[in-house]
Amino acid sequence: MKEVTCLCGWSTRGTDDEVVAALTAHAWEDHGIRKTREEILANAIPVEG
Amino acid sequence: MEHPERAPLVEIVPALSNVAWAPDIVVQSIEPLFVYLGPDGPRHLRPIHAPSLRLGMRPDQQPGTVVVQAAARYGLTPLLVHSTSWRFDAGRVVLTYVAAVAPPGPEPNENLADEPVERAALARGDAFAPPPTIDVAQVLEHAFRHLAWLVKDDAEVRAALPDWVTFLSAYEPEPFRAFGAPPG
Repeated sequence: MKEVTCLCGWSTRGTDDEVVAALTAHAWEDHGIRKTREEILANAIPVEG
Repeated sequence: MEHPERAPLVEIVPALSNVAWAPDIVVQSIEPLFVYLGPDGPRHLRPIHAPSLRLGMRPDQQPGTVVVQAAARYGLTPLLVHSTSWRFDAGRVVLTYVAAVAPPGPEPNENLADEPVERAALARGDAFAPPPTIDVAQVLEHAFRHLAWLVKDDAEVRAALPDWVTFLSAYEPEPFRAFGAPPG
């Protein structure tokens, strides 16, 4: 399990694929920016499931 | 009948917890509350898409350092960071840090909403249970009451927040407020 928190406070946790999908959508829909999978996972922290 | 001097020295009882101590068990949510003192009173710099910021913490990190680093990410200058409360929320322990920061510049970070801090009634539980709900306004109220006590009791806090002393005097220290006026 991974967790990532956006500077705007939005947060998500899940598998690598779930986190990437959720943050990709958030970054584009709420901030109009695109993030790569590598960028997203580089900022994700492992958490207990 | 057992002689007192032959009584077992150690009584074996069931384990108090079923979770072993481990270096990888950490508080997973640090909640920094960025506040500054504006001309008209305290202001909360809230993340625009959440009531408060929740940060994960790796086992090799200190929570205060996490808060200071987070403040830097928003271009804020911390004056003091201090843990003021914790609560259990959605299966996680949330450790709250109030982060008193210098007033932001003319172009504050776009991810933060600048809002006044209003007074709030404290969330109260009973003798064995926490309040059923706690919102961020109540956490901030508790934090300011905590600082109001510290600014009188702790020289380091007073030195870090010289401009806050007058404002914080409006927040009667929590240990005395709860008991009300003395009898008689």
